[in-house]
Amino acid sequence: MDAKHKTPDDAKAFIQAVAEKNGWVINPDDDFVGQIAKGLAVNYNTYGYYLCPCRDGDGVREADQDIICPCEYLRPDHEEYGHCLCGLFLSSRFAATGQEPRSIPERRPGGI
Amino acid sequence: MSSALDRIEYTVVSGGKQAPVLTVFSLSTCGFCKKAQEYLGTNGFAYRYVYLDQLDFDLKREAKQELKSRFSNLPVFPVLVIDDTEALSGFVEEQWAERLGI
Repeated sequence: MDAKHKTPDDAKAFIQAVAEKNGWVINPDDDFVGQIAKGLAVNYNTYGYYLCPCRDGDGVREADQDIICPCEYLRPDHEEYGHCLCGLFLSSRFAATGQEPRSIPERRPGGI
Repeated sequence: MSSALDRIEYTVVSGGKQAPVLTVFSLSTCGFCKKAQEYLGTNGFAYRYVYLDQLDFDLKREAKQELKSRFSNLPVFPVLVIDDTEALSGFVEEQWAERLGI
């Protein structure tokens, strides 16, 4: 298998590593996270980088730089909503509330 | 040139509730998109959907431009188009429930 090919398990390991490094909490809904991990792997294998699976990028790294996971908008989204746009990474404060992440407004200009 | 939205081959999901006419513009990779479609299915709505990320790049670009020119304020996926006249962006269950009378 191509060494650069990513499986959903590879993406889950990436998610785990990013969460641990930053002190974020992964969404406790395993099915939901599984869907996102699958999406991250698909995007990696399509574009060559972990494009945010909740956004449609240009497929060019330079143009998509701000929406490569973890995206540039995550920290302000954590501040305001307690989780990223995908509902993948939660702030520890939000996680402690037990609330379920939901769609939040997009900070990136341009829309879908 | 015909409408990009009309050239898309949608996948149809059957359901007991045929009205309103619902079209979901999703990403195959997105968690909230999957939840949204499951929500429609669970509540018995017939709908059609397309994974925009799986379309030919040019058709996708055209379709997104058409959606954005037809409906204002479409920041996030999924996009639910209702009766071809209005659109909800993002899946917030309470909003969908209110609009769909669930």
